[in-house]
Amino acid sequence: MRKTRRWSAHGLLGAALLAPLSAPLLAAGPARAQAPAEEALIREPALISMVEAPYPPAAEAAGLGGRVLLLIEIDATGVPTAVEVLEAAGHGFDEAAVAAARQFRFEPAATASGPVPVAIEFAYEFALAPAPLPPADPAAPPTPEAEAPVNLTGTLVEMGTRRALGSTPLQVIGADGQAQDLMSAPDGRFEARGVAIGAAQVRVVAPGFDDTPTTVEVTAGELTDARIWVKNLGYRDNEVVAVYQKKREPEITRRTLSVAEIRRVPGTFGDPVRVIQNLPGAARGPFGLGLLVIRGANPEDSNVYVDGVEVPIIYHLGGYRSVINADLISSVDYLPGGYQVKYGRSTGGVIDVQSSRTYEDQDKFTWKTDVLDTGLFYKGKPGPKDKWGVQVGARRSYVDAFIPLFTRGSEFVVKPRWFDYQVKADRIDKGQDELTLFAFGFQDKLFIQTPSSFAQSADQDTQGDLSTTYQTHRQILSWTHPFTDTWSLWVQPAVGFDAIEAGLGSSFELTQSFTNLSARAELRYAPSEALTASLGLDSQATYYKIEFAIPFLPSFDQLDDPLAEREPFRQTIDGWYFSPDPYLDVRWRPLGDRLLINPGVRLNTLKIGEAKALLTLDPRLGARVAVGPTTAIKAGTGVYQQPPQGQEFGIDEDELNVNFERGWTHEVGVEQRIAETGTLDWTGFYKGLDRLIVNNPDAEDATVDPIYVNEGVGRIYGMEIMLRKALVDRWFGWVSYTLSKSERNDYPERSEQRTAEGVVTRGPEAWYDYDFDQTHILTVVGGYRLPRDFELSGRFQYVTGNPYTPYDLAVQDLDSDSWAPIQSGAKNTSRLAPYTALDLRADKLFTFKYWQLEVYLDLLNVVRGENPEQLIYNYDYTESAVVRGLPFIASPGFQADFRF
Amino acid sequence: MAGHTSPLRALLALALTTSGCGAADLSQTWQLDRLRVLGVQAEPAEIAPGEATALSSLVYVPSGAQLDAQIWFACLPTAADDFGCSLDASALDAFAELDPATATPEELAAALEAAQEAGLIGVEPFLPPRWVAPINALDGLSEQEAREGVSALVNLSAASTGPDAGEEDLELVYKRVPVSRATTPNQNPLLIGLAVDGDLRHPDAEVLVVKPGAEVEIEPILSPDTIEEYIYVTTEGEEEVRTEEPYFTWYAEGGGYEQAISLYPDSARAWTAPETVGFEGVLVVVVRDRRGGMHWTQLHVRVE
Repeated sequence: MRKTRRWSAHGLLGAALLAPLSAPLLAAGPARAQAPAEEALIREPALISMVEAPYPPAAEAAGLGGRVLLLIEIDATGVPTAVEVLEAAGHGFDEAAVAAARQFRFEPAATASGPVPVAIEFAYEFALAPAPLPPADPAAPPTPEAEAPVNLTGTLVEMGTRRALGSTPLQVIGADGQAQDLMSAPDGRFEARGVAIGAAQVRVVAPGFDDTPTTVEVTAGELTDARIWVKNLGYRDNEVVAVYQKKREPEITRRTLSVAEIRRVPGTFGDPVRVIQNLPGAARGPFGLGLLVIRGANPEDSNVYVDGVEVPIIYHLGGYRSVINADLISSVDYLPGGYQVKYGRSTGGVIDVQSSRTYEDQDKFTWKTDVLDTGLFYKGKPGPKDKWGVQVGARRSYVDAFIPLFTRGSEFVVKPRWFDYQVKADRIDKGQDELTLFAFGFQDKLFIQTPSSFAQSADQDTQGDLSTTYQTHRQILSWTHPFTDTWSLWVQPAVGFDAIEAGLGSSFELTQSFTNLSARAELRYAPSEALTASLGLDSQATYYKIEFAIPFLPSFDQLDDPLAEREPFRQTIDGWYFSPDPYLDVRWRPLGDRLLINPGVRLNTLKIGEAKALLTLDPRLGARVAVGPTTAIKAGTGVYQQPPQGQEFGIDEDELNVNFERGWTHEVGVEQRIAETGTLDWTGFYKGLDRLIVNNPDAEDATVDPIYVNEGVGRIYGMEIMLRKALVDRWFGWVSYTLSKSERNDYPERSEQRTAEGVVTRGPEAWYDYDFDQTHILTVVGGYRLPRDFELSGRFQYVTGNPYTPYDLAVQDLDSDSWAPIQSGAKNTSRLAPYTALDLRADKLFTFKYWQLEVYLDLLNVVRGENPEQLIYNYDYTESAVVRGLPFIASPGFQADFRF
Repeated sequence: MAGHTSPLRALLALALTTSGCGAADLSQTWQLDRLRVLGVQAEPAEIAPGEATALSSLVYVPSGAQLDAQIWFACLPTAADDFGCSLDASALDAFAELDPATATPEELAAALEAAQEAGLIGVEPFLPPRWVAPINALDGLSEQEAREGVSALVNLSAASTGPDAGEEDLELVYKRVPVSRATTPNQNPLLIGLAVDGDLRHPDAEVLVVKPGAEVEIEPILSPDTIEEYIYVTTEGEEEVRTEEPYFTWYAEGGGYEQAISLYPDSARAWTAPETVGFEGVLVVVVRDRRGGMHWTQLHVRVE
């Protein structure tokens, strides 16, 4: 009796794939793709690697068959993330089908924006075929293969990844030269009968694989079993493409890039977060430090999240490395504007780093080293029953270890360093429930030891060592539970701790600590495909404690008097502030996939001490219309408000003198798909800012007068273009261009005021270009994949220079021996020369039996312009010079991946 | 909230800025290569309301240039801004419009009076600077506050003309003159000379001869009683005896210093002579006592 297993996924899988396997017994019944996307699918998921389920022995013995209907959730990389039995068959069929489906691999579904996660229904049929008919002539001799016993078995294993190569054609050539053509089973196993005694040759004959034969010694009277290692001729041709787009949500502007593209952009050190600096809307920070200047906003006006939990900074000291290990990142949502109400407390952009939840069959250990740091990372399913997926990583920089080697003879000791860690556990056998525990943290430290005889300045209080330490830790629990087809709940409590410690000499000490208790919850109601409503809460409760010791000056009006006597002053300020922000987000598709309307509203709250609570409302509206199969128009408008920040609270916690800063953003855009792999994305935007917090020019006594007032206004407007070719046919690339203007006026309502030189400093005409206003930002990135896993890539950048305020004269204070400059022009009316640079990168992947090694060389600033980063003056402001950007840097590194 | 990120960012920016990658050479504070006002001394250094103080300056004029004038103003802190005394320029119009060659003594006197009402206290070389603290300078202060006093301001504008036509230079400086009823009013420090490699050399000593590129250890020598103890009344009302902590700033016409500042008692600094044989120049050291007192000395050097 022969047994067969049949499967189908109706309307989803490519006919060519289905036909040879399921034509005889296609199951009936409805099936559909359930994409959480509001954007139309342009490509359905296709099964590219199937694993056959073993036929349950008891059922086989009893002659039973069955049909199991599964719901398979597939992520944007084509990997099943959850498998649920919708219709059970019992008799062991359900367990067998689920186990097999977990090992499937798909080509992911895609919208015009790129691959997306979907859920599909999948019918897996188990049937016993009729027993084969007896031979027509029982006396006829059987064929030699059928007659001979199995004397050679083996497993095809891909080198480096240790993946079993299922359904792969191979050839076994015995010592007598007789060849047998075979096909490996889904688990990579094969069997050969009657192989001649002696040295046999086994080789894979599938395209894309090295066909060099492996010699196996076949011994008489024994069953020989061999593991056949097979080298893939192009591992990167099969590289999983994860995309900056884990969840399809209707932000008006969202940039998507594949991890494969990201890792090969020169200058990013393979860090997905740093790639953002090459996307439209992101201005270039000084020295490439990674300051998040998004659409002309102050860096502090943009928020950064990890799995939806806010973190204060995203880059380590120097901006070269993000604080989350790149191996743990599955996607990065870069939202320069027009984002949903689930994000708040920001008038700038948003970056949300999403951690990975997918796990391969093999556990993986990664060792990565370059000029900056070394990191170790483990990802796998350590338990016996694959209940939990675990990721553990840690990195440490060693700049501090090397610097003393180059500063011998100097009494100065400079020790910058960072350390970070991540521990994550995902429950992966809970069906549609998602349960995740995630802890991560980092510490950045800068220590400069100064010789005791070295006078750093005339100020006695600033002599001595400088040290600063920054640390952040987060522990996150995330649980998603679908109650029914229409109701689901996401809950995410988190505990965090941030601290900054700084010290200079013996008199300056500053310690700030923030203990954050945050909670996010979202109740989602989706009564139909046309409507989804989410009621959420984004709550923060923070205990802050600020301790500082300074050589305090006795009165406010003596702050600028170097002759004033000093008294050591120490103070501790602590308290709580609360910000429980509810929001409601609705996604309505009245015309199916052709039209999405996304209204939302968020209530911003801030309660600190006994001060009166601040309450403001952010209404937002977004829309997206598909005007053709390859064209979409998008538009959005909304209010974005940001609470006063720590130092703006004031010392008296019972009185909060400033309110939320406010931005009103409008944007409209077009997305055009070009051929199969290209996209053109154009967005125009305008953002009006008001109630910006500025220094109170009337403050005379800091103990009485408010230091800050909500008087500033601003306007930011421009357009962004991104023309991109995805990583297909060996090359990828994009051109990103931003044309924008960012202006501020700190005191528009005050009467006009001019300096002696006629410079307008206040009043309705006192607009000035913001510090990071960069009119033109052009980035061109491209990469080409050569044979044998060798790849070249490059990046060119042109950025308008930053504005600065010109000075050409100063007045000397003889008591402090310092000079106060006098403006020779209005604020920020001069500009530095443009920044231009060309970076290159080459990398090569080597594959061994048990591991893979990637080596790479980043060549930064191969060609560069003058690249002034900053204008500096001599002591009396009569001379100036530019500080140039980084010189040519060659940065080698490697990454080793071990799978087991 | 992102608010607590700024201190770290500020430190990063500071660290990178001071790393000086790619910075071109700019003139250093110790370089004497242009018109410079290196010091202003008020004698006495601290006065009570109604008392007078005489002002003197240390001005460096490069070889070939000529110091044209030094104009002095003074004011109480209530009439000051970020650049010293806040001057009403119109009060000087009459003075500026006068032609010294044709003006009558009466016109000069009237213009001078108007300028003095605006704060003018000296025009060198014609009118030596001298300032009398207003008798009401401490009105409204408590007895304790009056003992601490206020810092009056003195502005000095120095102008020079170079050897070539149109080559003019201007220096604007200000300093403070404490006005108080202190029980221990401040005295100016006194530099008695410079010790070169351990040998004390007075300002009028012969020229110091050094070899090209030689490094010379120079230590400013203070008068033994120049570091004063004084009484400070804390904000808690307690009297506290404090000791002055003077510091030195260094200047040179050639060669260079690793550091342009030294703090007492690590007062010495190494000066590296220029490589040019035949160089002749001056080294200057100015001491400040951080309470408004100031003094200076100099040393002539030649490279052979």
